[in-house]
Amino acid sequence: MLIDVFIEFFKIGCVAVGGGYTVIPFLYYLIPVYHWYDADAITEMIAVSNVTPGPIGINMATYAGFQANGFLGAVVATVAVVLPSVIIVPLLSKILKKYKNSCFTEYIMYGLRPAAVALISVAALQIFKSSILTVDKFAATHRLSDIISLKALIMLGFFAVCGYFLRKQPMLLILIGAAAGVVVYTAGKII
Amino acid sequence: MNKKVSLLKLFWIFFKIGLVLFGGGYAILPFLQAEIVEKEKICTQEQMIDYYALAQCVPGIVAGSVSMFIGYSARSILGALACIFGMCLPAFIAMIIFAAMLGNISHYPLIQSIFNEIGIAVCVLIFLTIAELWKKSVKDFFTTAIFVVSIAATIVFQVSPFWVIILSGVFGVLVKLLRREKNAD
Repeated sequence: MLIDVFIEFFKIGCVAVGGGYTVIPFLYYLIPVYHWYDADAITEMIAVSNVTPGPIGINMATYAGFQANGFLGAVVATVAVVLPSVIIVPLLSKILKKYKNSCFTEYIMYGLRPAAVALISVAALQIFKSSILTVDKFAATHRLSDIISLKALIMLGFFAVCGYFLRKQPMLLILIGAAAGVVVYTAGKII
Repeated sequence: MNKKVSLLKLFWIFFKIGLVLFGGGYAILPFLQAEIVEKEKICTQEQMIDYYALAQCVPGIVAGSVSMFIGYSARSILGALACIFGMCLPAFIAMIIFAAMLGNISHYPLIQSIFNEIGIAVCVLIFLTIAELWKKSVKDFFTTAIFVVSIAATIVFQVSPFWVIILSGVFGVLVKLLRREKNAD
C-alpha cells in the first residue's frame, strides 16, 4: 500500500512539468485505480490547497497521501513527488556550472529571460482576472461597470499604494492582505 | 558573487517563504527578489530569472525547483536539500493539520474574505516584480519579440510553458550566432 503511494507520486513528480495545477489530472486518474479518495475529495483538496501556505503541488500530494494512508502516506507522497526534481535539479546545476563561462549558455539565457518574464506576466494576468475582475457578471450583463466591483477597485488601489512602499517587504504585504480580509468581512457584517 | 551562507540560514529563509506562499510557482518571485537577491545577496536577479525559466522545464513543482537551483548555487547539493526541505515543511504541516483535524475550512466566509484580499496583494506584488525583471531581460528588438510571441503562444494557442522556454532558448542562440557571423563579415 505504502509502496503504491510512493510509486504513484514519484510518477506524478516525474511528469508534472510547470506548476502545481498539472498535478490535478493525475489525481483524477488515480481514483478508479486505487479508491484512495473520491472526486469530491479532489475539489476539497484544491480549495484547501489554495488557503494553506506552500506550493500547491506539495499541498495536494500531502493531502492525497494522507487520504490514502494516514500520516505515513502523507510523508511518503510528499517525498516521492519532490524526489524527481531533487535528482534532476542538482544534475542540471552541475552541468550549468561547468559551462557557466561558455558564451553558449549566455546565448540561451538571452532568449530564456524574456520568455520567463512573459510566462510570469501571463500568470499575473490570470490571477488578476480571477481575484479582481468579475468576468462572469460582465458576460451576463455586458455592462462595462460590472467587470470590476467598486470594493475590488478600492482594494486594488490600496494594495498598489502599500505595495509600492513595501516592495522590499512582501511578507508584510501578505499580512496586511490577511488583516484587510478580516476588516472587509467585519465591515460587510455591520453594513 | 554567490555569498557563503549557512545551511540553517538557507533552510530558514525558504521556510519563511513557504509560510507566506499562496498560489502557483510564480508567487515565489516577489519573495525571492526581496529575501534572496536584495537582502541576503545570495544570487543576482539575472540568476533568479534563469532559474525560474529552467524550473519550468524540469519535472516537479516549480517553486521547489527554483529554490533548489538557488540552494545548489549557494551551497551545492546540501544547500539544495536545505532549501527544498524548508520550502515543503510549512505546506506539509498545514495540510496535515487540515486533513487530520480541521477538515475543509475553505468555505467559511471569513476565510474566503481573507484569501480574496491576499489574492489581490499577491497580484500587485507580481506586477511590481515584473516591472523589475523587465529591465534586465527585455532589452532590444529580439527580446521584445520573444516576449510578445511567448505571451501570444501561451494565451491564444495554449502552448505549454515547457515548449515556450525550450524554443525561446533555441531562438536566443540562433539570433546571437547570426549576429556574430554578421559582425565577423
